[in-house]
Amino acid sequence: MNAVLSPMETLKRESHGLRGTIPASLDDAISGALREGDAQLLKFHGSYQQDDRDLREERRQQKLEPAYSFMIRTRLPGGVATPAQWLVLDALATHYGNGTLKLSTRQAFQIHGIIKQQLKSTIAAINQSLIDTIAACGDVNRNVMVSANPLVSAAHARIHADAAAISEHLLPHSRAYHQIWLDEKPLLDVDETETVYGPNYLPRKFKIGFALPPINDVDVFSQDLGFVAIVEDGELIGYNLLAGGGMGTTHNDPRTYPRLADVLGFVSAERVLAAAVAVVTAQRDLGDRSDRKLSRLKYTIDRIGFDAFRHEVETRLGVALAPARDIRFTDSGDRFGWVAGDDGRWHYTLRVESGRVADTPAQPALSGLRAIALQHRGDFRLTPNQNLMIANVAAADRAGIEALIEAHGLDAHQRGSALRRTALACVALPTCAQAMAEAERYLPTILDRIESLLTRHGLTEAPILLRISGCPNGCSRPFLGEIALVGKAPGRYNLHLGADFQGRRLNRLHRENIDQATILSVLDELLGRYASERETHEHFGDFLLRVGVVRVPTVIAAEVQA
Amino acid sequence: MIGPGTGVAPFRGFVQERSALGGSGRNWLFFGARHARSQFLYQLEWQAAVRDGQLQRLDLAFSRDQAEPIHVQQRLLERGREVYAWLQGGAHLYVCGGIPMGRSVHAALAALVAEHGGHSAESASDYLNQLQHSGRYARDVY
Repeated sequence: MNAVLSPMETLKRESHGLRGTIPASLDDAISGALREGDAQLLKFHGSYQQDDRDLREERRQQKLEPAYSFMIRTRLPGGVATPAQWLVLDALATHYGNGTLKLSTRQAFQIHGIIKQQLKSTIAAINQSLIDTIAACGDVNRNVMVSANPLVSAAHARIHADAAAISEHLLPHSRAYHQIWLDEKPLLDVDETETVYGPNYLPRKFKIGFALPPINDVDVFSQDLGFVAIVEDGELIGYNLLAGGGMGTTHNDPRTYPRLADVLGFVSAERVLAAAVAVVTAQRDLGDRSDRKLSRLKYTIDRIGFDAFRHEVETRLGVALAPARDIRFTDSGDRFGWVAGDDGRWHYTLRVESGRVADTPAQPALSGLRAIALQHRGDFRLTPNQNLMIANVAAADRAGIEALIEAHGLDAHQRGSALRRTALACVALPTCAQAMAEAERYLPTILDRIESLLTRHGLTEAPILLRISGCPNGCSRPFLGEIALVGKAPGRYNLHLGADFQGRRLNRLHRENIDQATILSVLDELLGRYASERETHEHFGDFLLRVGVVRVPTVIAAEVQA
Repeated sequence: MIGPGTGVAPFRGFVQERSALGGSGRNWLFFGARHARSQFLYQLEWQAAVRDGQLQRLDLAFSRDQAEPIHVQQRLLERGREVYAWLQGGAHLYVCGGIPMGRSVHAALAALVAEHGGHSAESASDYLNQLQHSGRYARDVY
């Protein structure tokens, strides 16, 4: 820990509260990019600088800089948005973005393709709709996830309120965002001291998720900090507190690994904010600030030890944590179609492949959801699986919504295999700077190929989790896929197999750096064996473990306890 | 150097030559096109020239990137006080590009000379003629 601080630490400390020279960078007409340090600081304001990687070489030959643009990500706890907010985001994406809305795996909206000259006005317009983008990226608490579980309405509302309160409390205190994007005049009497984060913010990104059993749609064990709601007789009594999950790894760096969160104990509902602050500040003070590859909370816990970390949290919290309550998860998926909540309101979850809401001839989704937003009187919920719930529909309004769903082909969950309905893909190429291989754009192709294998083996209705990620950072939470493709190079992937269906067991690397033909031949054989040798209700990942295709995993606490 | 569109071509050579010869004087380029994203000709070279100190000043006008069109002559007027100071300091002026642009730039130069040199319209015109006769105002318009 005495090692040299990473350059990012210096940049944060000397950024004047995340301001850097962003206004000057925005005004600099010589480039569509921001200056290097400003591009890093921009993340804390909810935007990534990207470029169209498909055009890089062509533009280089034209002596033009890369086609820079910006992705803007909302801070939207639990992914809950009003129809009016939907319409604003739709209009911004249509007029200034690439004409699509992306629903992220953390329940945020992403608008891609905003050019530098439009960045400020677009962020300002998002704020006018009462959604902000503060801290949607960067070394801070990211968008707080909440299970989209539609069945228990009152409990969901309560948990969503807790998540929103934590999201609010963990916002940076700097007024940089308001001054740069919203033209707020600097005020002398505003205290911008970062009382929670300190001048260097967190060592690395920090992810919080709230699960509502029996559905583990937020993949709560993948979060830096997880809360599992304990509901008794319809009433929330508290949360099991989990810490130290994380997906991101670096290829060929054995110091890095995906990790599931440990169960720290139980906290009562009134202590939820204090518990969050205890874990966040422990990571703030103990996390590695020299090597960003090792800065996530999961490595902090493994470095100092689980018991020492729990003690640290209890000391900061001022009370000992009670033993965790028993919880049971059945799955990590969404409930498609109409579902009634316990308050009699109706919710329709529709499938959005890769979370990309776009107008295509077969499925004019952007237009369809615009029509729905114009008439919907409830709200929308982005699910952790990149799907969309049209939530809180009165019984009398169901028919009208349903007609629009059908007219725009938005009932895609009724077509195709079970595997297709649950597949996740990150954005990857062409905009993501991290991507080593295709993900979202490859998903339709690989789904068609795998579906023909499923058809041959009679497995079209077998629910199997497929996840594709363009790199090992793991935005699509690939290490919790029963089948996962993790991008290694163009057209080549690491094939991971053997996670469970409930998000409690990591998969294992099965084959490294293989092409599509090899992927399909490996899967063909294993799916064939699964079809003939599986036990009743046995999931694919569990089967692979039982028959020894995937080696018995090393024991991870959460895998045993949860 | 005022060279919107393809008019920028000779100035690429000017800057390269000056850099190769180790010239130490100041230089200033006004460039314009319709869209920055697709028509910023030799963008990477200009960025490098600014970064490496081979080009001291660069002003840009992309006419279609905002609601109201902006052209190089507007940029000249915005920088009028400094442009006049450069001329008074002995700067040579080069204009290259389309004929209508050359006319608009000439009018803008006359206006900024009048405003910042305290000239009448007539004597501003004389000022520019004098520059031309002494070889300090060269135009290649087509």
